[in-house]
Amino acid sequence: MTAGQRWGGAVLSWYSYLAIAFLLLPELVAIGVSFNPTSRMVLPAGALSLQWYRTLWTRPGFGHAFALSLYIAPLATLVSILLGGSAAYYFSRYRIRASGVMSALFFAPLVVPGAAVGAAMFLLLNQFYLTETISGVVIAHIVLTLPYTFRTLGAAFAGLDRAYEEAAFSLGASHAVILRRIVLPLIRPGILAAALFSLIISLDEFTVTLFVSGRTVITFPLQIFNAIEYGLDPTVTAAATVMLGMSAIAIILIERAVGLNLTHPAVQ
Amino acid sequence: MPRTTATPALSGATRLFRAPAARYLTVPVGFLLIFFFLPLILIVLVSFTSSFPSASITLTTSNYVQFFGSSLYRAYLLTTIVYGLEVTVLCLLMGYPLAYYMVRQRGLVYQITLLAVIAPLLVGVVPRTVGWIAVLGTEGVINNILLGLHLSRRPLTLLYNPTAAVVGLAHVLLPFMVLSIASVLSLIDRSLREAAQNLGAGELQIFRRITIPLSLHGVAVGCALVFSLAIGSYITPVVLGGGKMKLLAPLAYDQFLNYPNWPFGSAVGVVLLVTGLVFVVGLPALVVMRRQAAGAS
Repeated sequence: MTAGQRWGGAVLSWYSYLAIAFLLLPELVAIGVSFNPTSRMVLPAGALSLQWYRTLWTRPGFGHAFALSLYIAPLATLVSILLGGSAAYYFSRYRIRASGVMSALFFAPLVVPGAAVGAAMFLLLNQFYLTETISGVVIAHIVLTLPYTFRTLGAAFAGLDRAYEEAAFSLGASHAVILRRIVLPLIRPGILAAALFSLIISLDEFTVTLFVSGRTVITFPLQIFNAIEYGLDPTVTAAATVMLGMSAIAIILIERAVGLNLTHPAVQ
Repeated sequence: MPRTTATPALSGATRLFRAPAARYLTVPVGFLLIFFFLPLILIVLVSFTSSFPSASITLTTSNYVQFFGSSLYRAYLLTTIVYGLEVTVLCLLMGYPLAYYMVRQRGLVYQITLLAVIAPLLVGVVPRTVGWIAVLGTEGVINNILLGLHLSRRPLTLLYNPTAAVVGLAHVLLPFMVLSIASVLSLIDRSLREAAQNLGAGELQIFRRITIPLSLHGVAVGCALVFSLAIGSYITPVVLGGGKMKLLAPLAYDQFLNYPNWPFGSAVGVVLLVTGLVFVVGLPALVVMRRQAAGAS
């Protein structure tokens, strides 16, 4: 290795460390600020304080918004798993005409500009009197989590040897029995990962929810936005830390269930 | 249930997966058609009406005439495109070297880098935007460092301007760029590199003549994705930009929910949609065309 190559390698490494630091810095600072005892947006100088978490609990709005998010996310996830799983199973087991176009259908919600999706969904849901309702937000979240459940469960089905299903079928098992007794138990880690993806995407979703909810169905991220507009204090960093904590748990559990890899539903 | 005697597993299997069990697909596809594609058709339709909802629908191009006829709204479009491009370029400048570094690591370093890139995809845009407020504020980390090192006498105004909005959104979208490029880089055959080395090519030459051309498709996909997501973003540019930037996403929101003019809001949405689509479809297609042209010559 020449001196030039060594220099090039070192520059590349340090550049990458900086990029990673850039990725992590704001999150770490938000966590730090949330534990500072003053009402300013500063990192704690000495003593740590939980007062902003108390504020989060006592100030009207946040508790309700959190409960609402925890109500919407599992509902959206349940439907998303059923729809995404069913489609993914079909894709992995049957020959499909124009399968490229069909699978692009499922990933499209991730590549269309969010505000355009929000505006379009607002118009449609309004026709059914579903804007400014929890049901409307749930429907929007199902659409936006479908790429994740479809992708994750698709990978799970692809990794499952058909021989199990074929053996069961040749022994006389029906489709329903094969699904319930063979397929679903074998892809349990995939289902868990898909559910976690879907839950966290729903809990984090902002733009489309903003349009569809008309700012009357206030989910947790929307409540943080309201708080930022209303007047800034470290409460919003405490709320952000709660969201970061939920993401961290999801990331750890997904890594344990199926392992994180170089893929994302939006990156084909 | 009828059974065949010879190779039961095989014949069973062919029957198991041969029946077009359309029920698995009908409901999910139907759901997407109704709640994702129908809205997109509806917004295009509404953008060509003068009032909606209304009893009678007459088609008109007046919303687009109003949009493109006004220098104010043209400025919204231009600002949005420039904003999207700035975010995309920043992501590319940070993302390409990071992706290049990542795919060349093995073992623990690779795992850690991968985690650092993937994990932010599962972190919401709201907490990340809050983080930037804390980093860039007058009492934020950057100002503290500048004051501490006596590089500045007064705290700088780093927040609530377009630069903060570009940096903040590039932070949110960087993982998409890294993944798009890394997934292509990791597919490049290592033997190409060895062959080039045997023929006496240096690192730089290998990078310029092999790595870049073969990763161009990933770059195009990453840029298209980041651009499309950037122009559709709401909270990051609105909060970090201080609400002063003339962008289509907040404009659409205002037209729908603040002073309702749904037809015009729909036209704004469609302009956003088409702008995104031009990049999402156009950029990767451009690379493919280039490759075909290169192959033909």
